[in-house]
Amino acid sequence: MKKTFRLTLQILALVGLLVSMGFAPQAQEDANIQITQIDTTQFPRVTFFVSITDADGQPLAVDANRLIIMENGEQIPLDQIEGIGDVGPITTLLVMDVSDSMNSAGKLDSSKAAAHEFIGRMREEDQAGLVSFNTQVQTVQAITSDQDSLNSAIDSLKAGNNTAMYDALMTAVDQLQGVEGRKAIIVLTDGLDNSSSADADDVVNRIGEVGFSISTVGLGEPGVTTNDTGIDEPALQDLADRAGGVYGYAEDQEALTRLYETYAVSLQSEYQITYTSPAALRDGVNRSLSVALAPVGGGSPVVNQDSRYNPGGLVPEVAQPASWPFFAVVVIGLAALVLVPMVFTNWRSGSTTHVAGSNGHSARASTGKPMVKTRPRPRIKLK
Amino acid sequence: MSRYSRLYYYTLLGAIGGLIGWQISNVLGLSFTGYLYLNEVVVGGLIGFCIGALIGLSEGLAAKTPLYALRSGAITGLFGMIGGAIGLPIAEFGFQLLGGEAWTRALGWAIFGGLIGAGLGYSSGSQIWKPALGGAIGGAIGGALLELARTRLSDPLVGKAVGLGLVGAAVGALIALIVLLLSRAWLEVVTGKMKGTEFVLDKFIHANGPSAYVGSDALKADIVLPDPDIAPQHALLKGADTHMTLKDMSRQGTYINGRKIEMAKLENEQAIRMGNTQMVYHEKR
Repeated sequence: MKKTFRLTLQILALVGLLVSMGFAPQAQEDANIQITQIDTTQFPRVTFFVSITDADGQPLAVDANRLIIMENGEQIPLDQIEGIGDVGPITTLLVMDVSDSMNSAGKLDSSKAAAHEFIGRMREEDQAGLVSFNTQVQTVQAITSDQDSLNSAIDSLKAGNNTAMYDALMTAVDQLQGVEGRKAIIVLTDGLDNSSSADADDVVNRIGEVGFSISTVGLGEPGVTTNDTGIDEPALQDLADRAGGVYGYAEDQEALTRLYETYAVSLQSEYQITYTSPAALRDGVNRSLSVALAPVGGGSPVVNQDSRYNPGGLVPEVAQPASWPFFAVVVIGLAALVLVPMVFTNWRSGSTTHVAGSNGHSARASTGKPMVKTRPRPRIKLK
Repeated sequence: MSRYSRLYYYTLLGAIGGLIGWQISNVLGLSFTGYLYLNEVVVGGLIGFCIGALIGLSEGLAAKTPLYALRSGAITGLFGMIGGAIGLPIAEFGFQLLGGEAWTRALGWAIFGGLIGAGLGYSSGSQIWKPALGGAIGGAIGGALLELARTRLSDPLVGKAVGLGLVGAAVGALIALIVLLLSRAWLEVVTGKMKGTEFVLDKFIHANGPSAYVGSDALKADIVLPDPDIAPQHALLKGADTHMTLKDMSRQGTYINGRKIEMAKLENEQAIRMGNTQMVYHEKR
C-alpha cells in the first residue's frame, strides 16, 4: 500500500515537472540588476542607483520605462517616481597597491596603465582621487576633476613594503563620505592584506548598508602560495559582494586595462532613480527595495536581489497626532505619585511630635493628648 | 532626600521627563529640517533636558528650597541636554550602522541613555561612569520595551509613549540604584527641614579631583544647607584618596563629634555640626 502511494507521488511529481516545462514562459532575459547606492538624506524622497549588466558583466542599455520599482514588495506608482535617468556625475577613488610585490612582473606599470585608461574615460563633470597603500596609506591625489593632476599622481607611484589594503579602504571611505552623487571605490591589489589594523567588517560597517560601492581587482597570481603571496580571491570577492561592487581578476596588463575600462563604462551606464516612499515616516524600520526589469513580450521579469535601507528614527515618528489628553492624564497621574510621600510625611509630622524616650528612641504622642515640645535631639550618639 | 527615596523620585520624575520628551518628539517629528542628524540633536537635547531637569528639580524640591531646586534643575537639565544632544545622533548612527534591526534599537537607546546619564553624573556628586552605566542599562531596557510596545501594541503612539516613559523611568531608577549600590562616601543630614537628605561625595574623594564647598548659598556651595546659621561657604570637603578632610571656613565654626575643628580627617559615622544642622559622614572602603 505504502509502495503504491509513493509510486503515485513520484508519477505526479514527474507529470508536474513536465507540465511546468511545457508551459514555462520564454527564457528569462539574461540580465543582472544591482542596486549600487541608496541615498535617503532627503527622505521620504529616495534616490538610488542601478547597474544593469549582461552575462559577461558588460553594461546593458535598456529602456528606462521597463524598470519596475518595489518597496516592501509593493510597486511604486508612476506618479511617485520623479525620474529615471542617467547616473549624473560620478566620484571614484582609485585605491592602489604599491607593496613590494608590485615591483615584480611589471605589475606596477600595468596598474598605472589601467588607471590612466580609467582617468581617460572620465567625463567632464566626473571626479576621481588616488590613494596608495603598502604599510602606509597615502592620499596621492585628493578628489579632483583635473585629469592632468590625476595622471601625474599615477605616474609618481613607487612600490615597497607590505600590504595594508583595509586601512587604505577606511581612508578612502572617509574621503567619500561628504561627496554627493554616485560614488565608488575601485581597489587593486596583487597580494594578501598582511598589515592592516582594520578588516573587511570595519570597511563595510563604515560605508553603511548601501552607502556606495567598492569593486575589487586582483592582479597577478591567484591563490595563496606557500610564502603567503598571491591574491586572496575569496576575500576580494566577499568584500565586493558585501559592498555592492564586483570582483574582477586580471592576469596581465591587457586584461587589467580592459577591466578598468569596463568599470568606467559600467559606472557611467547606471540609472539614477528618485521616488517618494509611500511609507513617509521616519520610524526606524528597515524597508526592502528592489528593481525589476519588465519583460519584453513574454518571459518573466528580472529582479535584483533585495537591498535594504532604513530612513532613521531611533525615536520613531508615528502617524497619529500628539494626544494631549492622554499626555495630561499620564503626567498628572505620575505627578500625584511623586506628591504622595511628601503629603504623607507632612501629614505625619503635623499630627505627631517626636519625644525623646529614656532609651534614646523617639516615642509618638497622639494628637488627642497634650504634646510635649522639646528640642529634637540628634539621633546620632556623639562619641 | 535619602538615597532610597531618590530611587523612587528619580524613577517617577524620569518617567515624566520621558513622557514630556515623547510629546515634544510627537510635535516636532524627525523631519522638521532636511537634515536627520540635526533633528536628532534637537530632539535628543530636549528629551535629555526634560529627564535631567526633572531629576535635578527633585533634589531641590525634596529640600523645599526653591532656589536650590531651580539651580539643580537647570544644571542637571543642561547636562542632560548636552548628553541627549550628543547621544541621540551617535545612537542613530550606530543604529543605522548595525542594520536598523530591532535589537539595535535597544543598543541605540543604551548609548542615548548612557550619554544622558553621563551628563547627569557630571553635575551630580557621583562619578560620571556610575550614572552613565545606569543610563545605559536603563536605555537598553527602555529601548527593548519600546520596540516590543511598538510591534505588539495596536496603537504605535501609545507604544512610543510607554517606551519613552520607560526609558526615562529606567534611566532615573538605574542612576539612583547604581549610585545607591556603588556610592563610597556620603553625607547624611539628620536634623532640620533637610533631614534624611544624603549628599553623595564620590566625585570629591580623589586627591586630584574637585573639592566641595558646604554652605547655605545655593549658587556658591556644592552642598547646600538652607540654615541661617551656616555661612554661604561654611566649610570645604576635600578628598585625599584614602580619606576625606573637612576644613572650616566660617566664623560660626564647624564641629565634629562635638569638638570645634579647623581642619580634620573624617571617619565613618562621625557627627558633623554646622549652625543648627547636624550631619553624619558615611563611607564604605
